[in-house]
Amino acid sequence: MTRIAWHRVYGAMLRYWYLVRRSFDRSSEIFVHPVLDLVIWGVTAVYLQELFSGGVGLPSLVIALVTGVIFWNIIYRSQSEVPFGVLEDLWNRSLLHFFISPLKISEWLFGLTLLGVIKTMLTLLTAGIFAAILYHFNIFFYGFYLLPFLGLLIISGWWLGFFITGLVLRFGTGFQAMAWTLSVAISPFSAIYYPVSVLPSWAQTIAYALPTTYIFEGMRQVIYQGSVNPRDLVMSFLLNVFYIAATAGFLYTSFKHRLKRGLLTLD
Amino acid sequence: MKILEVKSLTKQFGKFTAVDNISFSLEEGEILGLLGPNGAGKTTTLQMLLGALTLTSGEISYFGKDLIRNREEILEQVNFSSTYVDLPYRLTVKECLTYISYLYDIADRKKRIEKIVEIFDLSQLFNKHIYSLSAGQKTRVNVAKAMLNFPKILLLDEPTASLDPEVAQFIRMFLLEERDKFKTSVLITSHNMAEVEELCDRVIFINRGKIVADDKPLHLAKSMDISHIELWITSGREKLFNYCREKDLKYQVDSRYLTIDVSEKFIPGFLKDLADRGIDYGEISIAKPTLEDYFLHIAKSGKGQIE
Repeated sequence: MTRIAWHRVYGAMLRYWYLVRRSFDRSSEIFVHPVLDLVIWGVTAVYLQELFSGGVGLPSLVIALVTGVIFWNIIYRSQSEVPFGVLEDLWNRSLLHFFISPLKISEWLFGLTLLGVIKTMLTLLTAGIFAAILYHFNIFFYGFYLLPFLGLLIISGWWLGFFITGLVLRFGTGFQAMAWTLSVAISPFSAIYYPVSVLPSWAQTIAYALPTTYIFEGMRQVIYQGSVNPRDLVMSFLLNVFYIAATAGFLYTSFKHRLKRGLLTLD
Repeated sequence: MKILEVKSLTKQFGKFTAVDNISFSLEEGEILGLLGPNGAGKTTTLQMLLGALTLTSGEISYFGKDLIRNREEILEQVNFSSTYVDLPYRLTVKECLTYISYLYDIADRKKRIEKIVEIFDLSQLFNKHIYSLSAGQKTRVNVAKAMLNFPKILLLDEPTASLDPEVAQFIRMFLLEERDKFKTSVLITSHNMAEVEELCDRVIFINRGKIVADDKPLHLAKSMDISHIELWITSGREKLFNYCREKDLKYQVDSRYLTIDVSEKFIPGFLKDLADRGIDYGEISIAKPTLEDYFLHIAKSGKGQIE
């Protein structure tokens, strides 16, 4: 294992950061989409709160939905960076510039995931500010728990992104729709806006195999009980470690598979 | 000194052999043309030389070191430009050169970019988006990008395709200067045979994945032993057609001119025959065989090896 060359990692980050600066579609992912989600779901929550006014714990519903929106945006943002980076370079026929240079795939992934973390933080900041303005919700409501939640959300996004990137590298842009749809496909099982217990039993089995579920269950525990069952955090962490190892392995083998056919012909 | 050495390189895609057991080397300061018809295996070979395609078998070594085992160290000193690989079109020229400069270990990136901009006259384009550039401008930026890391070896895939003659000539002069000043070695593919004759010290012809010739451009052209005699016939045009058919000579009619392919040693006899048969001509020009003739021969024969 050779050492990481930081200037190359920075070069990979820079390529995609310039893109964020240059294109509304990429910057809107950070600033516009989370705010739109917040408005839609926040207003829905406020409406439900008024509809059932007097019910016990109804203000918590707003908190749960608003947090669900923010947390889900963090996963989506974290999962998008790597596959969207690959797709952008495939659409531009410019991916080869990376891999005919001394840049290693690990450095390229590192650059992209680091940029993903920065963009995720910007998303969190944007969503946090708007949640405070619109609903008087303070993201630091979760106190210390915010840190493990954030870490687990970001890692969940990484393995989703690695899996999609592996598919695109192996099968080409025919799988590009996965970049937008995979996270949506797992969202019903992740119990973002409702507890796992309301899902049918077969769906619960899937839900408990996903690290994201434990994060959202933990989030609701903080809202309703004031603390998290450490078992949920540990389960989420262990599942994330498993998925990240499996998807990183899949991505790596997909890249090697692609090298057998040639990076120039990838489309 | 051998800068690049390729031994028994083979690439198979399933049952199809794209590159078939080829071996060649590139000397320091040498400009080597890699030529062949479309689908001959040139791009496949280039991809393997860049580490962008795994080999089925064989060895590639740069500076005496194996490419696979010393990838980062070697690619630090190699660069590539192709008409078929674009720069990110939503970035500006400045941004492209900047991010790519960070992929290499360059001592003073800002200074190097300034120098490249000066050499390739990119100051007017520097802050323009790639999508707004003409095809020729894009190619110029692409070649400029390939010079960022001061490469000891440049791999160029049709670098002057789509360039206007003036810029194409500038690129050719630049490559020759780089070779003379810094002993830069260049491996170039091109379909422009005149360019190859002007630039290359040596050419390798590849067809159906095999090397069918490896020699100086002049030697290969001469090996054709075909001259093109262009005549403006003033009388006896039909007689000449009959004569060509009789002697099995290839000819082409272009308005009032006729171009006939004749073996070099047969030229005196040919001219005598014209006089004997009363075929008169107002103008005559004799063109020696070119690399293009050789290329066409290989492409048309489909099998390669010149007899």
